[in-house]
Amino acid sequence: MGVRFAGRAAASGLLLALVLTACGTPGGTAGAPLPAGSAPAGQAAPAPSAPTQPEPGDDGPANVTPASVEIAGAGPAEVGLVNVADDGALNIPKDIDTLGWWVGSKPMGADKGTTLIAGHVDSAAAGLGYFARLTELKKGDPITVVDGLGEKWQFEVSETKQTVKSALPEDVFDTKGERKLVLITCGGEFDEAKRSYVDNYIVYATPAAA
Amino acid sequence: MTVRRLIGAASAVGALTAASLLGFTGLASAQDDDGGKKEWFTLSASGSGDEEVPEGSGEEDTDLTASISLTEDGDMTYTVTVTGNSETISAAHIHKGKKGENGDVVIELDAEAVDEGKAAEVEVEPDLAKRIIDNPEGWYINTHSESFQPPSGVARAQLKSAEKEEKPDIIDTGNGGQFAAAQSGPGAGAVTGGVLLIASAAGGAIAFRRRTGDDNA
Repeated sequence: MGVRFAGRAAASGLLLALVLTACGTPGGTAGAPLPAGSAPAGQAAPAPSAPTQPEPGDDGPANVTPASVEIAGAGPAEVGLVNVADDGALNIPKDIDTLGWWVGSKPMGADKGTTLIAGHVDSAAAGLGYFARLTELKKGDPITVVDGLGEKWQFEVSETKQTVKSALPEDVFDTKGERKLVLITCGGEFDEAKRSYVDNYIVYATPAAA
Repeated sequence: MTVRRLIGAASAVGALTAASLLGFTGLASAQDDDGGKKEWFTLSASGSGDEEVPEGSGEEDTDLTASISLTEDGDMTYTVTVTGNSETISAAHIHKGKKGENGDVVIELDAEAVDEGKAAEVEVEPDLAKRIIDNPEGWYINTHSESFQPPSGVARAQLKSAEKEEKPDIIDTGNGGQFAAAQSGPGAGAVTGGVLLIASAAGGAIAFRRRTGDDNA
């Protein structure tokens, strides 16, 4: 594996440039870190010249928490760590543009299992959230995840699904099966009385082919 | 195969120097001669100021969430987030000790990274890594600030295997109804696109803002 930089002194000018250019389709290779070239929100910019493609015989990439997600047509969104609250609900960040990675799921760099990231579709106080765009994703669309040490990971949408919120499919919690990324938000009918959506909208993505 | 890792933050160098003084291997490089992929083990931790020992000595209304990945060779990456704290996190450690007990520091964490909720990495002695992997519940994360010094701290959380985390019963991510309205109303696509453009711009703005406790539920 190549050199990996993990500085955190974010340059606001660079981040502005990233926001303005984030709508492009990132290139990449299968399930492997991509060449550094953009920084996640709130994260340092990786060194632009760092070779990150694993070499033959490499001991493999490090497992690191996800720091940002970028879907087609939107800039990167910051990802924080979340866990289950006392009421059994996943404790999603209040900020509608910040996503939550469930700490019981797999980090980036894992060979198998699911990385589960959830985010707001909307909120009464702040309007539409970053994941309101999930329903626009189609099979084959790119999703880029940058981990907390600056490595970029490329995925492609493989399936989308809408399910009743009270019956989340078990495969979104799978930690031993095929490697995949799962993005979850709410969708379907909005129950005005409960101020809550009836369904979850789920995007499955697999490591992009070489 | 040599893996070389460089940590950019000056504070990380200081923290890792301290780690070396505590008996850990250096920060610059790690040798792996097995030629194959290393197996990574992921641990998690969720706690609060209420878990500090003695009882009542932690900071009220603080939460700690963490994820640690490590190999038996001693490679370790981690992200620790503390929310609700009133002061900068000035130190963070992994200690040996069961729930309800204080114990010695075994790994010095990068305090600046913890304060900002950012990922960092450190090399630890392989024997220590194996002991943590074998029995995560026997170790805990503790964080400190100017007013919450050892042996107590701001917030504390016991480690556990991430595989043992309780699955969420529900993932509830919307209470506004704007998305449903945009989907069903006349000209829904254009409305959705326009509002999302604004949402996207707002998302960019958060890139410039340091994470605070207010950002997390």
